[in-house]
Amino acid sequence: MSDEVKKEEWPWEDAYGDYSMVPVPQHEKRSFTSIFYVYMGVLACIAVLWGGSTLGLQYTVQQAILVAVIGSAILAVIGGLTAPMGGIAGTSTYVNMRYPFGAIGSQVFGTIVAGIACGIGWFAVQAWLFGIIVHTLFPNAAWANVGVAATWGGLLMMITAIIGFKGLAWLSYLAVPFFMLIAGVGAMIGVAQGGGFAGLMSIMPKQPAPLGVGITQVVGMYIAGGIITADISRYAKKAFSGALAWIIQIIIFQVYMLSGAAILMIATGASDVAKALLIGGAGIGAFLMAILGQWTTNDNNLYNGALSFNTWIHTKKWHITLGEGLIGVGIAAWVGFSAGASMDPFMKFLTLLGKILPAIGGVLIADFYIFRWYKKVPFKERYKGKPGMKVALVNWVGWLSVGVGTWIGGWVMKWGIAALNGLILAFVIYTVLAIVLDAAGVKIAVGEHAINEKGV
Amino acid sequence: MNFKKYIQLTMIIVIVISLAIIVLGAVKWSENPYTGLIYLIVGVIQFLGGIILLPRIAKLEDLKTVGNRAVQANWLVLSIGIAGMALFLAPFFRLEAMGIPYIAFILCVISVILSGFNIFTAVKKAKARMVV
Repeated sequence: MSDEVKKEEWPWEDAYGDYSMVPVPQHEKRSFTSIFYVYMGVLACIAVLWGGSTLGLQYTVQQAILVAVIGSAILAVIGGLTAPMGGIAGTSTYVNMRYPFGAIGSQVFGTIVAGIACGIGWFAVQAWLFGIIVHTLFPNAAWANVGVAATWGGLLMMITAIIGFKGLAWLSYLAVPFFMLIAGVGAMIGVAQGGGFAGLMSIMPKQPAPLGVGITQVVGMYIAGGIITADISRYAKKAFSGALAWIIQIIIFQVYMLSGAAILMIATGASDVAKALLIGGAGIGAFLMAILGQWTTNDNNLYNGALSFNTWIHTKKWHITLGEGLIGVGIAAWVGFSAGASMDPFMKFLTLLGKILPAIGGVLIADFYIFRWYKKVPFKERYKGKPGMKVALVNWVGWLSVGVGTWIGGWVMKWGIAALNGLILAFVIYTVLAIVLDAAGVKIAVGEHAINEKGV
Repeated sequence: MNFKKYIQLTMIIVIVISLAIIVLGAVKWSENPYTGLIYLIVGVIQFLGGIILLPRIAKLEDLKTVGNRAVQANWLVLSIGIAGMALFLAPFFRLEAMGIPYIAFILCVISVILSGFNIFTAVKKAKARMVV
């Protein structure tokens, strides 16, 4: 094959590494299994088990499983709609955001929700939590001091994120089957300590809550992951492999993990899953679960953050990963070494930033599936950029939809699932405004930006 | 020995090891059903990893494709093997006579070493991808 033909097929230059700003070329795409494993790697984390143990506090076993199934089904639909955007276009969520928000919009929203919130904020929180878990498991060891463990844990988590997609996939291949088995062991310990299945079924929850509360918790816990699925599915060989991988991991494995942790909580009464496993007799498995569970999730936080920063910091992606990782480790270590320090105010701030993510998802879904259909863009051509192609600097309808959707869904509406409210409202507002204004000849795009061969 | 033959041979060893773990689980089921169950799960997953790979590479000539498929199966064997190593000696799965857990542990160590070396060999010799 001549260079000329190659150039025609893939006319881009991967200037920043890991195809952060350009479509992933066909020869670099991965199998369904790889995509599935990476998604599973994000799911396989202590936070999901904590989510499950919260369900165990509020519901009976049957109710906890029902809540997990309904919440997971909602997440399956959301991720099932966003993943094909990556599969078709081959680009990350933040590059795709150029279409409904404009070039500046993708930089601003991407930086807020993925760069600052995930790449620095949640990375730091998870590294700090890792320090706490390790300290809980080994309270007398110097290397398990919260600050020390947060530092070496955070540095460890940076390694695979710096390598890029291959690093995430490599770790997921190693950790995911292991983690799934340990989650099953948690359920076994729960059943054993709860006096068998019959005994377990008869245990009443300590803090009963309506089913809707639990569904909200399940959806809210992972809706961010459901909206940025394109970051991983862009590597899928087939357009819908990412969506299928997402749906299977959510419907089967998230339900499995939430239920396992709920059973452990119901039986033992302990909300700290790692500690419950250790006390229950899981031995070194509890420690390995803490390390691998946090690692497979937190490297994804860093990875997604670097992808979003790359939309306006034009340097090698691994430089950004290293920089944001060091900042995150610094924050985690500082909080860890400050005795009695808490990350609660910081986590509230990050949760606040995360509130706009569902609305961004709603606008992306509306733009990709409805507005592009209305504009008669063939399905397999949507969000496919080319060097020299022009996009808006700002798409004000996208900005407005996110603002109104977030505000009404997150603060004004007092019923339903806040995250889902924001997503649906933004979806409806964008669909109606974009189509009506376009039909009326009103420009929704302000300014122009030409994409160069580096994807910038 | 050529690469394909080497992979086939080592996967047969993995299958034998997994069958041994399954037998140990079945034997000790009555003493501690949870121990029996965890042995069965580890054994069955490793068995499936090996048994599915053999027909998948039987008719393949292309070394790289053989390597890629071997890598995929061996990651599964490796990960589950590590889980077995971490769990078989754990207090929750303790048995009265600790001989069997130690045997199961050693079998897992062998499968972990074999699968780790298989991945390394597939990447080195067959130029397979570590992540397929």
